[in-house]
Amino acid sequence: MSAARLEIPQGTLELMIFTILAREPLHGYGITQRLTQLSGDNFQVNPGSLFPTLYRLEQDGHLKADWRATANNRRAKYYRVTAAGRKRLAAHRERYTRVTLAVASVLEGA
Amino acid sequence: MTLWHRMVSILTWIVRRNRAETRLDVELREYMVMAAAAKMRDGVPRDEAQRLARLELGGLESVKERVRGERHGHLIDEVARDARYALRMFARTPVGTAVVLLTLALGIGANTAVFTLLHGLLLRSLPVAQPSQLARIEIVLPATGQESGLEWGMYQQILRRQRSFSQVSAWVPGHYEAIRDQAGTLRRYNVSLVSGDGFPLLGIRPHLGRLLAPYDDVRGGPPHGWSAVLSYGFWRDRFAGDPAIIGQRLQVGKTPVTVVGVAPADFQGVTPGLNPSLYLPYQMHATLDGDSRDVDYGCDVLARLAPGANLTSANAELRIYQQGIFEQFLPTRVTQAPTFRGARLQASAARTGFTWATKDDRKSLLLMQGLVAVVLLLCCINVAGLMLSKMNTRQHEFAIRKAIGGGRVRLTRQCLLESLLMAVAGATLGAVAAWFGSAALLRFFVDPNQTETLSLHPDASTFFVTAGLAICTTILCGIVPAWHAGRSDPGALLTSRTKVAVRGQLAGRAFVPIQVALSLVLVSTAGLLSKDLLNFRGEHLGFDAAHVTTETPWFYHQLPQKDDEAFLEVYQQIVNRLEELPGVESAAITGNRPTEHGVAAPFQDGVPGSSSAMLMAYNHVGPGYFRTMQTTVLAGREFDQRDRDRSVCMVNASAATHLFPRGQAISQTVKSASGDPRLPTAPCRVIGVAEDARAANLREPAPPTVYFPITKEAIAVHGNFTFLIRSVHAEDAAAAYRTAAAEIVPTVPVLRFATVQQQIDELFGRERLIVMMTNFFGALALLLSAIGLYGLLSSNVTQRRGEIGVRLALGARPGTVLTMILREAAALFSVGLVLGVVSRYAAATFVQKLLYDTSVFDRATLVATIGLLTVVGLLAAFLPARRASRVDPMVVLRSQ
Repeated sequence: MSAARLEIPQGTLELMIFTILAREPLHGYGITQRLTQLSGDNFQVNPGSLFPTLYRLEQDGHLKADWRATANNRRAKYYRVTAAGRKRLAAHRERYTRVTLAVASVLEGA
Repeated sequence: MTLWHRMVSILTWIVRRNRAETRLDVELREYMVMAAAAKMRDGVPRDEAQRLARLELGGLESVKERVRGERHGHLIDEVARDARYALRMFARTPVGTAVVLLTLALGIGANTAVFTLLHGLLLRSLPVAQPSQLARIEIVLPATGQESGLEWGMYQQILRRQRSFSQVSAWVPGHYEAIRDQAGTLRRYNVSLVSGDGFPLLGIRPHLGRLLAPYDDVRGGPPHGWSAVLSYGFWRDRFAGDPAIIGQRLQVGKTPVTVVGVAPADFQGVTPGLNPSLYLPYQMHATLDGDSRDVDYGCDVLARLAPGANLTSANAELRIYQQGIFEQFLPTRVTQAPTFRGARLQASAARTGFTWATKDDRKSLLLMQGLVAVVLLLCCINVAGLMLSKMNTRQHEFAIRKAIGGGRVRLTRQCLLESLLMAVAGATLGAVAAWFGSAALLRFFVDPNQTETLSLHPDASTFFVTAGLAICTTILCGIVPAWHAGRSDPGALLTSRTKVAVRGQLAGRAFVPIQVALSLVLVSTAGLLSKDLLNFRGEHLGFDAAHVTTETPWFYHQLPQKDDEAFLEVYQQIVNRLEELPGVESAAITGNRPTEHGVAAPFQDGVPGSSSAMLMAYNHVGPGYFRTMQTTVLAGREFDQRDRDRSVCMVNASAATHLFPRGQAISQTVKSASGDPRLPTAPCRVIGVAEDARAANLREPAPPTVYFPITKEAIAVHGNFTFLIRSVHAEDAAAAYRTAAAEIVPTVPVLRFATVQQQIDELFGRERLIVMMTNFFGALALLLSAIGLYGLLSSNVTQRRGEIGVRLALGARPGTVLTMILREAAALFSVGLVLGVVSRYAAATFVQKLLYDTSVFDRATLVATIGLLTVVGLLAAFLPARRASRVDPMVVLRSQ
């Protein structure tokens, strides 16, 4: 593990999981890998945070899971975003964009 | 997220948990396989890749625990699992669990039972509309500290003149009447008389029919005849809750009444604990008495404050006309007496009704509550001690649970849950015990003749108190062990066992001296109280209480014989018949029962011109009275069949010395110095002198007493006479009376038989109860501290096996080890004894108030208590100490 990895900011894990799963259904390990890859190796999600978040979202009806065969013919639990989840993703995304824009404009204006 | 969705998800989780758990496990393992596979692809060897994958996951169980924490209702689930685990732990140590459970049940049960009494008799509001507006009006006598009810006339006056109350009513509780029910059985029931506005004032709704109204309460009776309202309990028990009771006729005494309604179930009269069976209009009393004297009863006056009025304004108003009322209704003999100085009419809050509990009752109840509270505290300390020593043996388990991911909160919660389960189970058992216990306790507080109609059972507020006690108990018992469990350090524990063990019992040690101290206080108080009561019971009373049975039938109202001579003849016939029957040694009649307060009157020497009158007790007794009571006749003879007039009398020894200080009393004369026509004003010749026999107040020496034969004047004094039946077995006396009564007076109900000894015991009921309770709780305290000490030492010995083994291996003799353990126990014990003696002296003034002629500093009791405690303590310490001395060094050293 590289020492330069960043801590995942509070509240963004859910948003990133949504975004990743909105593109294609994935299993837990797939999500971890995709996140590391997309973040340019800056983020590494810990299973101790990932699985509780996945279960919470599934329980609340934002994600839906089904068991499918993997590439090497093993069974894994694949998560995908539901309609309710997409709505939540849109809302989150909009809010997050506003927050980052606001922070950026404060930084630039100073 | 709707509530519905949430509930479904909780339910699914509970129902399909096993499947979900398996899936979670599969998913996480799959994650590890994938992670390992990815690392192997990067060239990491297989074993190393698997180790790294496990590290990355950070502990399978710990991730699972966090996932479970996200579930809806995971708290319910965890608590349920903890509870199941706790139950398994309990089942594994059944004896220990039973001890804890019984201890808690005793503590909580005793508290609930006593509180039921306290609440029912002193605290409960009457179940009527706005009880806070109720006020009672009574005469307060500051000189004697007494309160008394009012005469009917006074009530009428107040009714006419007052402005502060919206309604004023009068109640006469505790009037006994024989009622013939539908089955034709004649029994006596408690009847309450109430003025017509009594029920309207309360504002309650009948269970059936209607309640009494002003038009029912008319002097001489309303045109449609007397009406009656049944209590709910009487209606349910005697009439099987038959709704057709309305309009039916009952016979009260000799008077028929019509049932017009049934009172609501929760209404038990205005005098807590008395619970009348029947409510009748006040004016019916003259009819019930069946005489023309037309004497008004005293009554309890209950009023409702008018809107805008308060007790202060009501009292100010009463003060204006109280003098007039006193002068109109009380004789000057009363109003001029020093005891009447400062007397006033007073209205006071009557939210709880007429609590008859006297100051003494109140004191005893509060004392009992204090006593049982101390016992509960003791129980809690004991249970906490037991739990703590159990925690010490479970240190290992906690350390392992913590090591594999059990959080501190979770462990603490587990321990608290265990104590809560115990407390709830204990409270349930205790509540069951209290249900029966409070009824038994109540018997000690009231006239035993009334218990039939009395009812007090735990109700909702008692339930809350019990629940509260259970929670307090949990906190008291569970908090220390729970804190310990949460603190257990896996690292230290898994490496070494002995180090932690020694630290763990410091808190447990502190319990022993406290237990010993509390036991000492309880046991020595029990000792003092018992000694006091025994002192008294051992004294010579001047009569034989154990073999005399009494019966006081109500001939005065219930015999058809109107003529006095014929009336007395019935008594004589029964006495004669009784003496013929098997088992009866002798029988006689008396005006005053042996334990009854007689009336006193002035008597003097019958010599003309003598003026030294003196207040004496007097009684009318039949032939054979002294023989039956086994009171020795010191000189002369006792009355026989010839003595049927007032020419003769007898005196007791102290009356003889007072009246005739110069010698011989026989053949001297005595006469009444009061103007009372019922007493002999002409001189009576003394024919016998009897030894002094104590009467009503058995704690004091017998008063000077004069005895007269039974004559028709005695009927006016006593009304009914009492049969005294002497027999070896009380059952013989009762059987003989039933036979005689069936032959001679078949229409009169037979009442309760009691030996004189039983009556004496009942007279001292409250004191006996307190002695019994302190003895019981003292013994319990002793047992609890023994268990506490034993438990502490034996877990201590178990933990120190290693150390003891080393000592023995290095040459210590078993005797030395035994002394070592005993010495440690003795140190704890001595601290407790010192604490106990100190707190006993601190409570001395309070305990002294309960004692009659035993000093609270009685040395013998203290020495005996300390001796007893020491013996019990030694026994409790000896068993673990002996076990320690028998440790086999080889076995211990190998196992280390």
